Amino acid sequence: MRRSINRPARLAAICLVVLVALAAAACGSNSSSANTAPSGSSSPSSQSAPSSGGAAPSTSGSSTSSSSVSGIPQNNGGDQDADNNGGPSDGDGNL
Amino acid sequence: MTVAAAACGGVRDSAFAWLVPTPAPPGWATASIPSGARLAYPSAWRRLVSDRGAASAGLTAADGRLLGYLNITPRQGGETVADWPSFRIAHNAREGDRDVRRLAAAKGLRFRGGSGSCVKDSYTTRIGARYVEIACLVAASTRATVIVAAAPPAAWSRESRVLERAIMAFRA
Repeated sequence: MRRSINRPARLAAICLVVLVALAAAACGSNSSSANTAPSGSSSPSSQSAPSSGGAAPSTSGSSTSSSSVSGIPQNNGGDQDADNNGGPSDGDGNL
Repeated sequence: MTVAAAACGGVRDSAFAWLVPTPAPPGWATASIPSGARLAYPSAWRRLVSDRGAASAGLTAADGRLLGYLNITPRQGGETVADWPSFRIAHNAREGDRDVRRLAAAKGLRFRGGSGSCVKDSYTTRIGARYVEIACLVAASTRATVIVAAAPPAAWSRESRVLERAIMAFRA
């Protein structure tokens, strides 16, 4: 008697577990690649606020393909990173 | 369904509900980078020096303090749309920023010409300047671009609407 009463509840519990597992699998599919640490190293020496000017970006050194990664020289080695000078961090993924 | 929605709640954050792809307001200036991505910014803002192949614009106070900052840069490292929020937080910390705090994040966001992920965070630079930023990695058909919008906390309430508007107008 008691066993027949518990059976629907047990069935419901199993269904709930399956639903949660399916939900977790669906969310997990968003992450298809691992987090790769950017390469390069830096030890900035300048700590001034970012300077402003009218410099337009050069026509070289950019990526036009999602599969290729262009490396902008960092640590002020030809690079004017605000983040390397204590200003707000820009969008480059290297240091 | 409720369970599924709760489990997926971290994917789309209501903090980015404002992000609706929209052309720039009339009169705004634009800066394109060689990859083809285009940044729109208010005409009162100035272009700032940035990396080659990237573009920056900012609003500065009379004393030179930065009140608002926009930057677009072609994807440079191993970042992906899937791992972007955690990548950006870790990247800022690796650059020497202190007290990096993640405020919100979302994936599956739509932009003009692409889709991507955003993170909102705050950090203190090595010289002690604190910023709030929204940083997004946006994938278009043949390229991926990072757009960063930042302002000091004291200016955030005044400038965030302009910064968000620039992200809405960004062409990936």
